[in-house]
Amino acid sequence: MPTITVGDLVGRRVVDRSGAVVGTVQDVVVRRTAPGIYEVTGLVAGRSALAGHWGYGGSLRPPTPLRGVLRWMRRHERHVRWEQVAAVEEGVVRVAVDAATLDRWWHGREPD
Amino acid sequence: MTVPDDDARPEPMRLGFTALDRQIYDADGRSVGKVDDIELSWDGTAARPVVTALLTGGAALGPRIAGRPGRLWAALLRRLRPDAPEPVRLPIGGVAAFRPAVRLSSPAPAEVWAVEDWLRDHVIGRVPGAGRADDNGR
Repeated sequence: MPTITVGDLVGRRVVDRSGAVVGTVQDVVVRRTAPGIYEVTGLVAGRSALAGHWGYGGSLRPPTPLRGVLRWMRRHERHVRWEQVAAVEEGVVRVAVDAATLDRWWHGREPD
Repeated sequence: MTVPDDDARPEPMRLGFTALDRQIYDADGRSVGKVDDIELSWDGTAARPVVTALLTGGAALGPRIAGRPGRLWAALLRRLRPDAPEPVRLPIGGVAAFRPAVRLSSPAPAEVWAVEDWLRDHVIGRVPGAGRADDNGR
């Protein structure tokens, strides 16, 4: 069974169908589908993980003064759905679509 | 003691942020260590990978440290512990919750305390007066 670790995925370059660099893998998004089953739904790609380390963006909404700052910090962030991943190669994740068609937010909605 | 399965949240979560470097507690409430890496696997039929195990221990941390420091750490560990080159795997089925800390639904395997056991036997146990400790070192 092929295996890979999150630590090995994080930091790999993400390139789109045309070869343009989307960013690097910042995190792996999973969803709990059954007890003890966590399925990978996609990757968070971006230029910096700094905004993500604040912990906002999922069910936790940032306080008003931080919203604009975090939105600006995450302006390069893109969500690559796993179905859009064409190949996971040494040091690079290839995406089967153009960068412009990738989702902006990994949790499906724009943060408040 | 059975830990209730209370992490049944359907919304997606960022695995690295939620779990990496977080403290792990077993069903007895003992601190097991930290999540040093997370293993994903494809079973050949499922379209998406699934999380199969949490990795803990120094052997899991080495590959996450980039460049020469990571290689040095891995080499040092191989030299110190040639009989235990692999990280400790905690199967994901035994994880009861990820938040706020990782909680296991059963007692942790003994190998997670290999370093502590070694230190107790070879260092702490040789300190004068160590034999008068009032517990077993845990």
